[in-house]
Formats: sequence, structure tokens, C-alpha cells
Amino acid sequence: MSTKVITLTPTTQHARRGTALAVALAAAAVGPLLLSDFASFIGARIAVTAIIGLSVIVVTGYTGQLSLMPYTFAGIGVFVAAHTITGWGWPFWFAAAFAAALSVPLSLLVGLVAVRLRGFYFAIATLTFASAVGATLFEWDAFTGGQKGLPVSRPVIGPIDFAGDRAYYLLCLVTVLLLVWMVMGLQDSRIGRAMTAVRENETAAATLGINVMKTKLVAFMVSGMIAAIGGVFHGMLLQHVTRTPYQTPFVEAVGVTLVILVVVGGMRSPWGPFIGAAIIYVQLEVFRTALFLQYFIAAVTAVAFVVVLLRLPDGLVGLIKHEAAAVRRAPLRGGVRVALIIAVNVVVLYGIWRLSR
Amino acid sequence: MLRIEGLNVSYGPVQVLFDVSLDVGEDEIVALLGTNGAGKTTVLRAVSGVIPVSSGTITFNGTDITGASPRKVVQSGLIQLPGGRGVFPGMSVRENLDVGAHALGARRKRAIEAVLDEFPDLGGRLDQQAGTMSGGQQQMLALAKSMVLEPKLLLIDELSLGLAPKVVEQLLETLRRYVERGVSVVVVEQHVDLALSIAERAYFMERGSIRFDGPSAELHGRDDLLRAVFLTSTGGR
Amino acid sequence: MSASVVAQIALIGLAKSGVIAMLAVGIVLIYRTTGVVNLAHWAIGLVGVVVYVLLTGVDVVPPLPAAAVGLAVSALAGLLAQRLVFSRIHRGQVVTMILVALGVGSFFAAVSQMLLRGQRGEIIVTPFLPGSTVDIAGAVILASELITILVAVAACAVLLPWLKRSRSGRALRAVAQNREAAQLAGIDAARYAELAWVIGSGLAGLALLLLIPHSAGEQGGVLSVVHLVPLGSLLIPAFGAALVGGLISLPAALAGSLIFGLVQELLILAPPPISDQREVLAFVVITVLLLLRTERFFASNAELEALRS
Repeated sequence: MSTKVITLTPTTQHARRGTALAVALAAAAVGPLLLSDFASFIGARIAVTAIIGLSVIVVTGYTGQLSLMPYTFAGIGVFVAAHTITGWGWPFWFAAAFAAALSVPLSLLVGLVAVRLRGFYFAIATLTFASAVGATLFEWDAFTGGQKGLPVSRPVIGPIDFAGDRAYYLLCLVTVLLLVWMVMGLQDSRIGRAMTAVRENETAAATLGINVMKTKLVAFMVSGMIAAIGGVFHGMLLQHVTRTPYQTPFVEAVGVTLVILVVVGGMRSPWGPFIGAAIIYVQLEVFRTALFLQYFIAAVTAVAFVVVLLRLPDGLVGLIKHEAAAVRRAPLRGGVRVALIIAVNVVVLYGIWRLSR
Repeated sequence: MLRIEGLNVSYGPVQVLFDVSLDVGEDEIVALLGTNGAGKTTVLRAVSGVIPVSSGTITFNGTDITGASPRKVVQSGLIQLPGGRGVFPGMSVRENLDVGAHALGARRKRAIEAVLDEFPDLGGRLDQQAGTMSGGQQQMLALAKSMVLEPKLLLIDELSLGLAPKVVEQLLETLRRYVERGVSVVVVEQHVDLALSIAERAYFMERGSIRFDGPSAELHGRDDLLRAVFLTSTGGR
Repeated sequence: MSASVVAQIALIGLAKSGVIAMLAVGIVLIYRTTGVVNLAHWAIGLVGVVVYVLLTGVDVVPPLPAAAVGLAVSALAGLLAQRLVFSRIHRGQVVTMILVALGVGSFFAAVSQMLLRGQRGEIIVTPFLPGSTVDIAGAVILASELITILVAVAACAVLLPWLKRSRSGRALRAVAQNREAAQLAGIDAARYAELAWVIGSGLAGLALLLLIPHSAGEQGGVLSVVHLVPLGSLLIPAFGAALVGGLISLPAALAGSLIFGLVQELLILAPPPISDQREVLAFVVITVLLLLRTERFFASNAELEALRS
């Protein structure tokens, strides 16, 4: 799809982006606080999913390699959090750093095998390793607490107690924004540009003097670290964790769902996982009472996923940028168009919600 | 017999053929020449219906075949010998001929027998796997596979590529026998001298457009065009 | 330990091999004719099982015809996936292709859950094969397991000669080996690609129909959450088996299926550290197969190039 790019001077573009970002942030920060604890919990869940989703951005969005391991690394973070924060009384940020460090040996081991492989062989290798870790490390009761699982406590920093959902939501929001900012920086760095080159054409990248294997390995390791950090926050979110969701990519199919929501949101933008997670979790909560509808949403999301892959390479982020550009070009027409799109969506959602009662 | 008018073809966003027009008369051998990547193979693929056409018309014996399925094109008697790897390497010679004659349905047995009379070499190795034969033998099989379909017009993509002159001579001899019986031929070739020695008329392509069309002898004198071919083809081998 | 115990475990392993083989053959057929690494394979087979469960659940249709309908539904699901989705993707876009396969798998898994009205937990499934046991020279196995072995053998005994000798079978192989040359011989490549999907998906449905409704022996079967996911647990061994033939060779994939099913069961008899870690061993084997890039043993570079363009 071709999108017309409006060229603005860098400063105005930055300023606009800054303003938009500030408004969005203020809304995100204040919104749940005006609402219930429950809404804050959903907000925190979206933020945590977005953190784990960022790991997909780095390895799949930037580097073009499909990894089905994010929840394996997240699982490491989850259980590290259980042991270090609750068991040993470590501060959460130290636990996050430790989990990220612990993910390295595993991502290095898997990475050294996987980077030699291309395309679907890479994907199948990660699928195999995810299953293997699930059948070994996560079967180790001392690490995962067996069937019963382990408790995870939320942090207290000085006078602030993050045990409540509202406070914890803010902590997750700050963390995810920090990581989004870092992942954006990664894209503009030397290694980030090497990643893009590898995604576009491995052979051509090699002729440019880029070390393809090293680039893939770095991407895979960074992705593992981000997912492990996400896991620490996931553990603190749930407050009690069991091994099953992290054990195999099949049982809960979380690895698959994660990839789907990242792609729908937009695989090449660090904001993609945020938007994808928001849309899916808000819908799931709205239709929480009707299990049937949740699977209906899953089916519709799968269709949306395929349509995005075939028609919208940049997902909803790309769509939003496109519409925003349209509004800037012709504020009245574009505005009406956007309002119509939003209205149609709201009406459809409301209709389904009413039917589900 | 075959008339192409104003043909435009794109691969995705990249246009590769620009307003290509070409004519082939009854009982004629026409050479389609050009540098590497000039679009010669694309012309053949578009005619055979393997790739979609953006605009332009292709008529064969008075019927419009623009955008027709490869199956329809084959059934109208317009057959292409695909370039490079025209055989099914994992199948025996017999299976190759059988599957090559797929479009003939129940008539294929007799057609295969008729072709084997013309290609005695193949008769002796019917059970050999195609992938294990020499390049020349594979090309002979590819030619036989095309002839099984009883072409009125045969499009050949690189008959001589990678083959020894002696083998090429053998292939040409077989081809000439069919030409005498009224099969028209379009040859796409890197090997300019070879093409010009068998074709009465030639087209020359560069970057997706036809740059020359006329008698072969006239093209022989156009060093400005042919230089590019010689430079790329000697560099490429 | 007695010979009959070994024979018994070997027969159970063979039944597992049969299920893996039917899945692996479909994976290879679909990959070769259309270049799709079908991660949706399990979910497509699953839809057929769910339709079977619905039909037998209301006691309208007797089990055997219901199974036939289930199989047909799986085949239809595969046909639709190819016609509506996969035929629109260029083969060169490998990552898109795998992602789309995941999406299609998730779609069919979600549809399956919807058809079951989001029931969680375990659903008891009526079997269509006898639940009795059979004594073969002292080795006692379930009749359904014996029938699974026989069906798998019969499926191969029909499919392989059909591919080898019939006009359509040869055309299918031609499309697999050299798509463009096949088209230039007047073969409708799109139609044969759809045929490959129909056969492969039908086999996936058959495999799961033999497995799930009989998973609990005499009581019939249990459809649990583990089954209702896009990527089922036997999909990995099936890919492993297909990888033995580089996703290219059917006979090698069959040999791979035999090894994966049989060895995994027989290793139960091995001493503890090995017998406990059978799954992990399978993962190690698959990783080695991946690193070996087994495809190069079964196809020339030119053929592999053609598969990807």
C-alpha cells in the first residue's frame, strides 16, 4: 500500500509528535485513575503485554525472523521474580536486570542454532526450543513451584506502595514507555539499521559487509532480555504464577496470540504491541461474560491478522498514521472520515455487546 | 499467426515490458534476442499465460488469448519450451512424457509413441530418472515433451544454454524436421550467431522494449546493438 | 521383561507412527505443491473432529458417517485456506507465509472453540471404532490402535501408487517438481495445488479422528484443552518426521514417522533418565535435522530455488 508522506520540517514534526504523545500519555495515565481498580488492572495487563510484545518487534518486526519463544523468556522472568522479589527481598528493578541477564545463556544457546537457519526453519527451531524448555526447566519444581505455583509480591519503593492496581498500573506504564523509547533508539542505531537490512534481504545485507548471523543473534538476545523483563512485570501483575502458560507454545497458545496482536498493532513500530494489546484486552473484558464471544473475537482477530499481513504491512499503527496524514491534508474531510470509522466501530462493538447480554 | 500488440507487463510495482509488439507469420522462424534481463523470457511467459498482462493484446490464429490460462493457450497449439530446467527431475523419462502430454487426456499414449519415433535416443532410456541425465539429454527430453503437445507454434527459451555445440547441432536437426512439417518457431537466445543462423527474422530487446525488428542479416550489421549482448554474455560465462 | 510387553509397546508405538505419518504426508504434499509450511495443519484437522463431536453429541448421526463428514469438513477447510488465503501470497515472502499459517491455524482453533460454545475442560467423545482389545500373539492392544495402523498403511498404499501412476497423481507431482513447466504442459497448477490441500487436510482430519475419539480406550475419547489449540502436541513430531525427508521426500517422511512414533514409545523401556526425557530427545533430534538442512539430500539447488520462487 502506498501512503503519501507529508514532509514537515524536522522540528515541527518532532513538536507535533511530542504534543500527540504527551496528550496520549496524560490520557493513559489519568484514565484508569478516574476509573476503577479493575480498569487499572486491565491497563497494567495491556502495558505488560506490550513489554513482552516489544521483544517480537525487535526480532520479527526489525530483523524479520519469526520467534515463537517470547513466553519462554517471559516465563524465566516470572519465576525469577517469584524467587528474588518475594523469596529474597530484592528490589524489583534489580530482579528485572537479573532476569534479563539470566535469559542470555538460553538465548545464546538457542540463538547459535537458530541464526544459522532461515525463514521457517528459524521459526520451527524456536518452536522446538520453546517446547524443550517447557519440558525441562519449567518442569523443575524447585524453580516453578510445581502444580501449585509461586506467589509474587509487588514492590514498595520508599513511601510508595505499588500493591494496589492503580499504582502498579502507573509503574508498568512508565516501564513500557521507557522500553519503547529504548527500542526506538535501537532502530536508529547502527545495529538497528543492520537489522532492517537483514530483514529486507539477507544476501544483499551480507554484501554490504553486515554480519548477518551476528545481527540475528543480537536481535534474538535483545528480544529475550526484553521478554524476561516483561516476565518480571507479568509475575508482579498476576501476584501468583504457575508454569503452564509458559511451558509450551501450544497449550494456551500465548506465543501465537502475542505474535498476532503485535502484527495487528503494527510489527514495525514500538507502539504496535501497545495498540494491539489494548484492542484485544479491552474487547476481551467487554465480552468477559460470554465465553462464546471471546472465541468469536479470537476468530475475528485471526482474520484481521491475515488481512493485515496481506494488505497493511504496518498494521494499525500504519493505518493511524495514514488517517492522521489525511486529517492534516484536509482537516474537514479527513476528520469526518476518521469520525465515521470510529463511529462504525463503536456501533458494531456496542451491538455485539448488547447481543451478548 | 501470433500477433502481440502494445504489451505491458509489471512484476508488482516494477514495470518490465513497455509496449512490446511482435509478429510471427506462418511457417516462420523468428529470433528474439537481447541482453540479460531485457525481458525476452517475460514476453514468452506472458504469451503462455503464466504471468498476468497489464495491457496490450495477444492474438494467436485470430483468437484473442490475452490473459487466457496456460491450459487454454496450450490447447490452442501454442507451446513453450521452458528455459533452463524444462524437465521434471524426479520423474522418469516415460513419466515426463506422460505428464508433458497431460493436456491431451486419453490421446496421450499415441502422441508419445509418435514423438518417440522422432527421438530414438529417448526410447532407450524410458525408465531413467530425468534428473540423472546429461544437460543435452535433458534438453532433448524437454523438446520431446513440447513436441508431444503437437505445437503449431513453438516458443523456445534458451535452447543452447550451457550445452556443447555438438549437442546443440543435434537439437537443431530435430527442430528443423518439425519446421519442415509446418511448425513455426520463436527462439529466445543468448547465443546470437546461432539464433541468426536459423531465423529469417529477428527482434532485438533492451530494457523491456523492442529496439530492432527486421531480417536477421540486417541485425548482423548492427554492432551498436549486438555489442551489449556479447559483452554481457562473455562476462557471464 | 517379556517379549510380549515389548511387542505390545511396539504396536502402540506403531499406532502413534500411523497418526504422525498421516500428518507428515499432508505437510509434505502441501509444502511441495504450494511452498506453504503449514503450521495450521493441526487446527484444520481439529475442525473435522469438532464437527464429528457435534454430530455424535446430538445422537442424530451414527458415529461412522459422522466421522466421514468430519473428514470432509477438514478437507474443505484446507481447500478454503488455500483458495482464499494462501494462493494470494507470493512464495518468496517466507515470514509472511508462516505468520499467515499461524493466523489461519488460530482462526480454525477459535472456530472450533466457538462450535463447542466455549466449553472449557474436557469433553467426552463417542468413539466410532470398537473399544475392545485385541490379542496379537500375547501382545494386547486396543482394536482402535490396530485399526489406526491398518488405516495409515492403507492410506499410503493408495496414495503412493496413485501419485506414481495415475494421470492426476503425476500432474500433482509435476506441479510439485516444476510448477512453471507443469503449467506450460497445460496442467492447471492452481487446481492441483488445491487438490494437494484437500488430500493433505483430509489426512490431517483422518489422523485426528483416529486419535482423539479413542484417546481414553474403552470409554471412548476425551477432547481436552490440549487438543483445542492451533499447534497440537503431535504437530512437532509430524514436522520432525517430515524433516527427515527435508519436507520434500514422502518415503523418507514415512520412515521418519515410523522412527518418531516407534522409538518414542519403545524408550519407555529404557532406564530412567532416558525414559523420562523422551520428549526432550525428540526435540534434540529435530534440532539436529534442522541444522543438517535435510532438504539438500532430496532435491537439487535448482529445485529448491523453484520451491521458493
